[in-house]
Amino acid sequence: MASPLQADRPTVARPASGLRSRLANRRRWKYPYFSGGVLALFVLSGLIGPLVAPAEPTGIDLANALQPPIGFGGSWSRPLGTDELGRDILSRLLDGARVALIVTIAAVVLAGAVGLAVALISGYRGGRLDAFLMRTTDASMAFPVILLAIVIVGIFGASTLNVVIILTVAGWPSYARVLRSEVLRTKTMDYVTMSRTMGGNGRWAVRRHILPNILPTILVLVSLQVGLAIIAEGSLSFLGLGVPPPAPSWGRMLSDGRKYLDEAWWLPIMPGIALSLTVLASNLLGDWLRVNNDPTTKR
Amino acid sequence: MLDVQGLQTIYLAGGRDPIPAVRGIDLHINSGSATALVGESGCGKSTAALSIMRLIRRPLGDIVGGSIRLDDNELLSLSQSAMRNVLLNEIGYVPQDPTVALDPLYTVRSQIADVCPPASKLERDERMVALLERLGVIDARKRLKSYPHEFSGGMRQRVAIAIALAKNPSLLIADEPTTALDVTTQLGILRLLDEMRRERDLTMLFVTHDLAVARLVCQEVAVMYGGIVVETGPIGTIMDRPLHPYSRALLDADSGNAEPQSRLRAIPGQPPSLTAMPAGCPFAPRCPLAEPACSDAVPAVEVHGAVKVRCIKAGQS
Amino acid sequence: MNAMTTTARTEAVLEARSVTKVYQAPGGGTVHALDDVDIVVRRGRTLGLVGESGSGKTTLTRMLLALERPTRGDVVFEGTPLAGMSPTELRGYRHGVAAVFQNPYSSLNPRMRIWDAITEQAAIERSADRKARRDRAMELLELVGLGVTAADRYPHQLSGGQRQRIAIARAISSEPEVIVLDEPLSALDVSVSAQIVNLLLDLQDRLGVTYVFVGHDLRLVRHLCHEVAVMYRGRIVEQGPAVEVLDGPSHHYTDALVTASSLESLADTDDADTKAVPPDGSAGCHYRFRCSARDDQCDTVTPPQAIVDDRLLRCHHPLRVAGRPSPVG
Repeated sequence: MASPLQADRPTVARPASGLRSRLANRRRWKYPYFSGGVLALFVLSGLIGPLVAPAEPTGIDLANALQPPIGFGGSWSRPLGTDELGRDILSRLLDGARVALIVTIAAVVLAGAVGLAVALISGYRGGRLDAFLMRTTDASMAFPVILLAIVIVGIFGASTLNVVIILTVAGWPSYARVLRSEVLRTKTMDYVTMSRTMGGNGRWAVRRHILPNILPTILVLVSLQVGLAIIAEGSLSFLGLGVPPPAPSWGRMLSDGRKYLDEAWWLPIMPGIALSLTVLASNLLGDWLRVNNDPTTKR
Repeated sequence: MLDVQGLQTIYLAGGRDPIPAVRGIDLHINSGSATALVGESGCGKSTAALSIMRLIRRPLGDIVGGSIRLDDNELLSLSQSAMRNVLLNEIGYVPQDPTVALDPLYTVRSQIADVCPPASKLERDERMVALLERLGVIDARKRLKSYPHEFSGGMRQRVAIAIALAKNPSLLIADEPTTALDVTTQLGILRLLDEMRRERDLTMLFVTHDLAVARLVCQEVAVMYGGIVVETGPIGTIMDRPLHPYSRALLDADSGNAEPQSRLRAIPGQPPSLTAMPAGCPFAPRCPLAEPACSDAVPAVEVHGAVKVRCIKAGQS
Repeated sequence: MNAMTTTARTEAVLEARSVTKVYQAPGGGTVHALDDVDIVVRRGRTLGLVGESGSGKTTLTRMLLALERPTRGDVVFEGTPLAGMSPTELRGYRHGVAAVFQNPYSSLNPRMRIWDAITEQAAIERSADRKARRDRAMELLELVGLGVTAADRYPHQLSGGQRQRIAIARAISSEPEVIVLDEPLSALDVSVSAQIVNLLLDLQDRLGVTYVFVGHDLRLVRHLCHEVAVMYRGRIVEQGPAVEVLDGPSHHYTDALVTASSLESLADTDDADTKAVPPDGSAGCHYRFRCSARDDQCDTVTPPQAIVDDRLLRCHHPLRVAGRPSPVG
């Protein structure tokens, strides 16, 4: 029998196939090129999109309606084709990015801030305040978003600000719920108890111990909520409760384009791709941030 | 009868080099006798126990060499489904922490019934009651309907033992079964395991970090360090006259025999990390007897009577 | 001269006086986690607290660390009762009484560097700047036998034994009078645990620090502690010099513990699992259902705390103290 002690370099360990090892190595990507690039493009379009757009996003040109994108018989002047009113799709996408950006930042920052505050107070304090805040959260979660949207839009009319309000009111409970359980988990860790034996108060524990340790969860939530917010804005626009026309929004471009899927597939597909890429990129970036913020995954 | 020869197990960590955790161990346990696998955390003892049940699988890790014979079966050449049958019928496992090993959502009856050999419902219940009563569970018939949280720690461990024994296994693997229990409860559990081994002629592998506990229920011991068995033989012999410097250091570090407030004879340094295993004897960096030759290669097995030891300076002090 | 008079010479630094802690049970009713507990911790010495789970030793440490307040009775530090302390005095208490917990994996924040963790108290109090804290951390690391290279690491890069050294370094950072050690060795391997035992003994010699050592390994308690208090279901049943109590128990429960931890044979012992438990808050000896000397008195009368020989004892029918004649006069 061969010496069993030569097992240090086992011969059977096969290298994983290319894709699998790439996926396995994803955690160790040094920089998030893809997601960072897409999101940078998204933010840039939101900021200066209209300046670089080839045409006026709301400029109607019925003579050139339903032009296909280049490569499918279209021309360079309208690279992604035109819609049923002859408006340039690329220009509309760039302008729509602005709407998506505002809505996203608002949904993430406002809903996140409210949700985190509720989670910290509720989770750390506990007791009756916790019970009250959690019942409030349950009630908000149970309240249908669409109904809320109809009420708000019915009273105040459709506007970007109202979309932001709707998404904030609809979004904070999920932050509060998830983060509260994280706060509860972290609060019972021995290092938090230890900081109390050293005279640290609640604010200290939250700042030095709880927040840093729930940060990964916050990042994951934010990255998921960015996607959800963009989609939610689309849904609201689809129902006519979103950003009022003629300002372009990806969601309404998608829903309006739906009718033309047979004859002009690019109408819904183009905003669909923009939306999917942005959501995907934000999820990937969130994952990367979470992993790279965790000292235990650093080598 | 369990016979393990040259067992090697590695862990795989996405893309990096495989980590050898068990680096060729031999174990032989006769039916009706118990062997302790003793060592500190990270020495590979739990990995060895899991490997015997073939529970180390890709992508987590892999068994890369050796043979495991249970009675007449070579476990390493069995198909997945044949191995599942062995696990279902032949091997009982008692975990370290019964609190997390029992599913809180199911009654004790349904958790034991899951592993019982086929029988009518009535007959199965009778068998379960008899088994639990034998294991010292008072009011066993009533307690079948209880959920794990309604039991104390020691009682939960009795239920876990009942689950392990309900299938009438030939091999019982107990991984630190009393570490999570109070001392007063510990003896009761150890006594039960000992009685069960005698009554049912069980082959028992008892994984522990505590030689004193091992001595109560085992006849043989295998001391592990850095993924290898450094010394093996009758437990009384080894505890009275350890040949390997590590076994001796373990016994010396015990506070039981020392003068109160005196400094203990601690082993300096840390156990080796799996990812940076020394080339030769894994204990050499901490060993008071080490010489350059110790770091050349893992020492070969030397036979001293009933004891086998991997040390070029075995028995010297 | 008996041991009681010897120990009486050293000054009490931390005391629990008739501490009772009653919790409201979730389903109504109450749980007496601590029932009239008295302990005296003397300067420069080590008091061991032993008992099985549910004995109240963890609750008592929470009182001593001022994490919770007793329902009745008080904790007294250097003559001042905790209940009446001003914020400044309480801060002194936080300085004077430090802690090391059982689990070296959960007692260090995974996102804090070692030097930062060790000097957390100074950061809480804003009593030193970053540089001073770092320098202090280096000193402490040397003191507990770790190199200064550990300072910039994260906890996950260290082994269990090294982390426990870090936890000890953090505990001594405020130069405390008392360190409450809550099972500091039970998560460690034998070979590493012996190193930590030696470190604790060295620090006591060098710094004169006082320990309250909570443990379940009686061999270690006998080795480390000068005095021992044996707890059972919220009461201290026996208290006295560690070696004498553990070598010749007077209380039947202490005897059962000692027999069980000697691990000499599998002979039938008092098995906690199979015995009934008295209802919470009821009179009588809590241990009676497991005790061989039980009689009517044990069922109805709570044994008072009595000084027998050189020990405090709660038992109607104590075992004879082996090899020690009762003191005369």
